[in-house]
Amino acid sequence: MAAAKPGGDATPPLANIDRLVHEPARLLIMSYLYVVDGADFLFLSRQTGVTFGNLSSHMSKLEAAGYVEVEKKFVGKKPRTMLHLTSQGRAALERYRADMKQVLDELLGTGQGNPGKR
Amino acid sequence: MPKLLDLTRLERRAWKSTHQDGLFDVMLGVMLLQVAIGPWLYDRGVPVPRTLTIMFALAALAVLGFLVGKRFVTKPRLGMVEFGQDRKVKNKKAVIFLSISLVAGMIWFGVALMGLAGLADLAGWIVPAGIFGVQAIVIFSLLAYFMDLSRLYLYGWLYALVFPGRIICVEYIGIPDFIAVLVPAAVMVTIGVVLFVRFLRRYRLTEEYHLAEGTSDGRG
Repeated sequence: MAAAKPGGDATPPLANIDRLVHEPARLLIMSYLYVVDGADFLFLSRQTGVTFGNLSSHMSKLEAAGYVEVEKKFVGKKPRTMLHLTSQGRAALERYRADMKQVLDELLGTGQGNPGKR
Repeated sequence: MPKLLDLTRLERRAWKSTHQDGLFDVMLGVMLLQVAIGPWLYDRGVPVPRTLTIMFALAALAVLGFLVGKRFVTKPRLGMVEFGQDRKVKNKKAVIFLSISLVAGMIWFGVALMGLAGLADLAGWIVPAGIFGVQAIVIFSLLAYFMDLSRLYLYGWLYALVFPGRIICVEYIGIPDFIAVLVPAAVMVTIGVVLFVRFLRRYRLTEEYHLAEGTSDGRG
């Protein structure tokens, strides 16, 4: 089998992968926020299994990138922070899916042209 | 190749997690008791207005218990989530079907208990029981479909079997008719209680929750 040529056909799609989204916990968080309108920290923590500390850290990064919007509101007299994926965040996740599909297609030889198929 | 990110499955998983507390199951079990308690009281000579009052009170109690449980047990343990537009439309349809079934059931019983359906003897219950059974299966199947909760298909059949079961109990087996109600209701309540206990053990109240509640998000 020929060794992959550095800088060859497989490199550009890999380089396009958004590393902020690619991290597994963040990917899961963004995926959950993609399929619901909004969720609070507790719900996300329960669903993803990510601790509050880690969730807070990931959320800060996603918020700084403009992918997540933090909405503070009151439910009765109690404060509640709801998290929403922004349109920029939605676009980033959709782009990530497309990029990863392309990378995996090429890796597994299932894409168009099938260059890697043995 | 499996889907890279199955978002539909993820949304369904999130949705289902909000119904793993068993409260809905317990409510439906008590509702079944409520629906079936009418003829039981009627047979024992309880006046129709009082029978209907007891039925409404039991139904109200079931709904109240469900709402209180969601507010004070489920949300503090599971957190809050707002589902998307597709889910909201599905939920709206489920509520409409459930409301129609409740209103239809109550009207049907009101009419039946006032003696307009010729229910003087047990044989007179066969046709109404069939109508109620078909109604229950259709309504619950639609609910199961719209709510993505497959155990509601089973509940539809449990509801449907109450009145045929009552006839079989009295006419063919010779055991008290309330068993025909008690068994399916107990099945639903038991499933609900088992789910509820599992939910409480899985989602305990944590310090992190109190922190999050007090400071909005736990970030100080």
